[in-house]
Amino acid sequence: MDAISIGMWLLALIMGGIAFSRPGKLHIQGAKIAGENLLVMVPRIIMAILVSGFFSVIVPTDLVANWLGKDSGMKGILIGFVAGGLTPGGPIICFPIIAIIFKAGAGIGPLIAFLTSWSVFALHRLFAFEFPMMGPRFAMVRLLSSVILPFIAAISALLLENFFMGNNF
Amino acid sequence: MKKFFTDKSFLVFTGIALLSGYGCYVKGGTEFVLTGLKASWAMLALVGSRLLAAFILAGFVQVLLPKNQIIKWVGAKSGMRGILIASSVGVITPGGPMISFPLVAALFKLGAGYGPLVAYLTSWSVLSIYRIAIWEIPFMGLKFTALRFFASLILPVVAGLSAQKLSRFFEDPLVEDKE
Repeated sequence: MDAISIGMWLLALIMGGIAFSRPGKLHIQGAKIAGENLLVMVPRIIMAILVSGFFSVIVPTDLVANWLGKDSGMKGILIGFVAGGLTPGGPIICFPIIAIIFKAGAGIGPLIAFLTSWSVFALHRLFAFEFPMMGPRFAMVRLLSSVILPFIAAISALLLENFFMGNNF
Repeated sequence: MKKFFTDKSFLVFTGIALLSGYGCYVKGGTEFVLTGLKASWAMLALVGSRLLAAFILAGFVQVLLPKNQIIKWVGAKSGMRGILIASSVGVITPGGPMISFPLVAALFKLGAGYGPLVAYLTSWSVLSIYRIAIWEIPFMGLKFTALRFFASLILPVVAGLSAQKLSRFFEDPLVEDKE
């Protein structure tokens, strides 16, 4: 087990402790929710990780470095922005694949543009939840207000990169 | 067991896994398939324990943060203060869109402004500690996650403020049409 894992188990224990100390058997409810989620997610996660393993073999590393690498600049950010907005599906499949692209040499700017764009535009969520529940006007206003966000995040990340990636913590 | 065969996401993922496995085979035969399986195993070994902890953590957070409390916080104020409060609440809202969208829809009907609601949704989608704990930290590591988090802190406020401005230009007939 690595440091991240230990930290997360500690946090889980602390939250469990807080739930236990509250009235209403919250800790049992919480454990039940976790169990139900795990039962649904574990098979999906295993498949998603298989996908990422196979992707790591077929992903053309030179292409990634070329289009999304550290020196891809604004071009890489634009590609991340467009690809992220067009990527359907939730985090289960997205993160294992992004992790592989990260390992294959993609830069911080394109990756963060991709993740931000994918999170705020989320096509599947837009059609499944936002249009039916909030109506087209709200969706329109939100989408227009969000177009610039991936660029802000990617560029700020590039400005902060030396500080975060340079230090060991 | 029967559940797995009716779970669409699982079936789709299985399909993609088979396809990409076949892609490996086409590219380099059994050897490449084995390399892919090894890489999967390495990733599972890395993220398995983290994911398990994250799901348990998430279960407890979900029971400790009742929905009514979130509704109260997000709907309380409008304007810049409302945007800032909504942005903070988005960070700590647990759960997927099945939880947050009904919340936002309820608040919208109660008359909450575009600014706070858009700020809330943006914050929940880019900064949610729940998603960060379950997916981003296990797969991307702590440094990348911290960098992205800090680079994104301002996004909900930017989106909220522009939504507030934009909503005035959209004084639209669509809403009246619906009524």
